[in-house]
Amino acid sequence: MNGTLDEYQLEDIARDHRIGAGVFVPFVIARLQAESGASEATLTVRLRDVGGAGEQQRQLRLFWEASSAQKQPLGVQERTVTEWAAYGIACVVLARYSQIQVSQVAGDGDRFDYWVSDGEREYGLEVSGTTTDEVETRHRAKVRQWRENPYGVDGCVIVAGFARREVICSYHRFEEEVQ
Amino acid sequence: MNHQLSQDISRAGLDAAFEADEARKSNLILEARLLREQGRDDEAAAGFARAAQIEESLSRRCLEQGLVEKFFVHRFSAASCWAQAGNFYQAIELCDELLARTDLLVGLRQRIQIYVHTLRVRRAHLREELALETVGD
Repeated sequence: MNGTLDEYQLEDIARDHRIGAGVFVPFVIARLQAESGASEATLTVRLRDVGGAGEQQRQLRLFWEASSAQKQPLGVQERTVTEWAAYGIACVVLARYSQIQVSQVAGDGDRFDYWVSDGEREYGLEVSGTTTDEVETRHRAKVRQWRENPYGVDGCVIVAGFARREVICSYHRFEEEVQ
Repeated sequence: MNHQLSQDISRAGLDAAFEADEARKSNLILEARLLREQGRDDEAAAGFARAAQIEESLSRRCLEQGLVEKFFVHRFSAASCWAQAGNFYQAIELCDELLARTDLLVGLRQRIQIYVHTLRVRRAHLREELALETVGD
């Protein structure tokens, strides 16, 4: 494990991806703001075959402007807050630890949530969030779902665990996984 | 070429205007999904319809550039957006058009077959519900 603390300004996801990822910012804050007025959180990020072979563990200090927090209720169900917060965390992790950007929203039948790109090629990205401790279990379930993608593309699976403040980001090659 | 061995989708040669339209449709879909979650169904449907039109345009441009797999991505997404806008006719037509192609990825063909079957079942349920609503008229 690397002992250094990485940093990222949450609002930068709007700049670092091709879609309007700024829409996720208030959802991330809603899930990470342990107390009113807090403007940062530290996450444990487990990278699997991302930025190097094998698993690396990083500590990420995520910080934001107080004005970015939603003053009014978000007007959606709690599960939606969690899911959209996870989308925001996925944008953070990809921007901080990979060379790929979220390029577009995926369709309903694609079996993943977003298309990501290195500029020349596109891959699938499946994202999920949980407020329970079952981060590994959820991650395994989402990898299984990603394997069902009808395009046979390689891709990433990112699960954000808000109770544990832990994120798993893994890269998968379709050919190796589907035998 | 064995399309089933595809491991990524090429976007070679696509210009900034294409990327801008791709971002615009993504933002429309995100906004529409949020509106739907907030119970604002009419506004959500309008957003999905606008996104569907952009997806159709993106798919045509991919085909013109020979990016067949990316054409499939945008065409199927257009069908999905039309379905979410409530336009089953357009959604089913696009799915049938894809299913008629001999070069469709095997996995995608299976997915579209399931999807279009679901659409037809729901359309039939809707027709029955509407008939019940008007039975006393």
